[in-house]
Amino acid sequence: MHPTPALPEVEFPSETTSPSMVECEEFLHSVLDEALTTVNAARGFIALVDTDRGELEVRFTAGPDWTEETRRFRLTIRDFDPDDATQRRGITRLVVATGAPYWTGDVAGDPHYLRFFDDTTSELAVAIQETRSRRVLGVLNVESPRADAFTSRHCEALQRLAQRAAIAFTMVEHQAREEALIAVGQELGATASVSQVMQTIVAHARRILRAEDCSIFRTREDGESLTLTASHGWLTGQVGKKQYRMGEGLTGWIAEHAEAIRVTDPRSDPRWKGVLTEFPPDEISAFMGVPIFGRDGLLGVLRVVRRRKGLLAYIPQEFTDADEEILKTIASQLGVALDKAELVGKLLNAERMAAWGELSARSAHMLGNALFGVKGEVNELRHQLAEAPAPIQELLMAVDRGLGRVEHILEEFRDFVRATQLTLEEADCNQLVSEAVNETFPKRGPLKLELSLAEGLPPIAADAHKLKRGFSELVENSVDFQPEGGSIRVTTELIDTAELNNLVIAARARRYVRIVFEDRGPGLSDDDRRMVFTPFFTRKAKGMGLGLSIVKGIIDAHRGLIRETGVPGNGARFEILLPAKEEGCT
Amino acid sequence: MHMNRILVIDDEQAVREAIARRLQREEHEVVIAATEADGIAHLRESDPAFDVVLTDMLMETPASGVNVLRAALMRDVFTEVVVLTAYGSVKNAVECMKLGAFDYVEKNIPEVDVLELLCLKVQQAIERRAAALVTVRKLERAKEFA
Repeated sequence: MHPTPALPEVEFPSETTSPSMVECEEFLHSVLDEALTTVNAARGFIALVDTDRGELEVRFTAGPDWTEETRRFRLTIRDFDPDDATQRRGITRLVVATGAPYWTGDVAGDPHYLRFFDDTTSELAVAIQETRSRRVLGVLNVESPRADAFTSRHCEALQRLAQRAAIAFTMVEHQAREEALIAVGQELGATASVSQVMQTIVAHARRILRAEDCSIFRTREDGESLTLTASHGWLTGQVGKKQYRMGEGLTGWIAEHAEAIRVTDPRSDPRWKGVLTEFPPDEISAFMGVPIFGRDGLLGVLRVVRRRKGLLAYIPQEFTDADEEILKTIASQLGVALDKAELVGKLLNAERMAAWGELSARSAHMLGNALFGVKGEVNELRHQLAEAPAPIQELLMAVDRGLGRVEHILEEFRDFVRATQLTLEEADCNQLVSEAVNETFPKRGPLKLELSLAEGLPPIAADAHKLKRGFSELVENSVDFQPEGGSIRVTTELIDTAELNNLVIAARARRYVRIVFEDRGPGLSDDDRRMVFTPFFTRKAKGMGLGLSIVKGIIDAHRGLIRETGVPGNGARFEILLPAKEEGCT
Repeated sequence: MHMNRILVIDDEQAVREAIARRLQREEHEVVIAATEADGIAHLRESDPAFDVVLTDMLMETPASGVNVLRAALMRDVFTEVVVLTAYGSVKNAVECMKLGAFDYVEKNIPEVDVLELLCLKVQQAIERRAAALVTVRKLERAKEFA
């Protein structure tokens, strides 16, 4: 017996220290060539796993007789059961499925062999596997026309080569992920629209993490629930419609605890609810979700899922620590982008408001002058028609009334524009509330008044005159809507923004003074509540309805918040938040 | 009977024409100006001085009305000035009164015919001017006795 010649050591090319995909491909080619030389094989190929399609794709070939047809051959590996001996599915597939190498000296007698070439007698295939996760990336396959051409030593040599190929491949994947993360960052930097941001994230997260689906949930303003705001596949039709309550299901848990969850087979987790799933629950093989944080706290949850891919034992489905880090990175980018989109929106709004304010002021001025002119003409007309018959006089009076209406509208319009021009001074909220109530609450009548003003409230920065006007408007409304009797309750208290922690408002101050006006009138319907602060919306019989939009303008200009939170049919409840002045601040 | 001479200053044509037409119906002599500078030039060059001046508060600058008021009083302290404002500002009005204006009137008062109001104001201004002149003559005659 000849002593088996020492197998040559394979050089580890320096190229792989920083491979790009092209360099990696060159490297894999050279690996294949080395493989043929090392084990004295006539022909070989490297096939790589395409997890998206569950197929093996022949990527590199060496040796004679390869044709276009054979090169393009793709082997499906989904649903392949390595223990089923009746299946003749090829040595390559067997190796992918088990991760173990396989060789035969006589393909004709081998139960697994599938014919590719006529002159093949021996075949050896090893898996290209990630070292740590054991994930099978592909197969390195060689063949020879000689019988019994391969031994375990050839197998070991090929495995060493396969290991290097795996390292190169993994490094390329990592680099691709890095580049993808950078690309995500850049794209997000350029995008202003919130919906575009979320679509970008969903697309990238899926690719980077090799997940079948990705969904984004946003916390609602009330902080009590999360709404689906973006997804890729099955759930896309449910965007905007479906919600989790805080704490409900895995997603709700993530939001409530502000911590990530990573599980395989989510149904086995006691927190699982199955409220909303990207795939039928038994098809989800891995679930990972992370919280999304913005400047002001929790914005929502970002989650990805993997779908079960048949019986491929060596394609591990679970998400790794590295995967979780990546998803957290993406989530933080998402948080920044959402904050930015909101800021940009606010800036645009502020600019629009400023521009609008200017436009309004100018328009009001021009309207006023034009009206003056018209009234002058009518004045002259009345003078000329002093002897005209009654119908003409009546027409003139009608014109007067019409012009009067226009002037009323103009006046309220000017009030609205001026509402945001404040002169701020330090003020005592309770004092303003008391004065406003005293000035507007009817001294006699069927209405009851309840005043509950907290003691020791810090001062607020306010335009006293305008703020009182806002309070008065609310009291007057309550009076108007309770003609038969009822009550008005006004309370003030100091609150910490920690109590508002799930409210997605930009908390500009640490503490707020909360003023609540509530009554026992008819209250507001859900439709009313949405419209109540818009100009010219009113349910009162008289007036232009500009009142509450002016009140909101005043509160907004004070950098506060106003909302209506009553129960329809059970009275109106207006809640105002005004930032408290902190000591040492101007 | 000496015709009262009234100077009307406003940067809006519709406003100038409406006021001029209404005052002319009362048989006042009306001179109009479209800018602060024009108005002040008229004040300086006019001989005799105007009896009443009606001026817009805000023209080229927020101080236009005040500048006209000063120029009018410097030319002749007996000239009565009525200031017109587009949107009521109590602060401005008080400032004008302190500087010696006769009155201030908002141009847009819902359901009020401001032109009739202006005629009334002009009439009151003329009467006050006349009364002031009488007082000054009495003072001069009293000095002769002293």
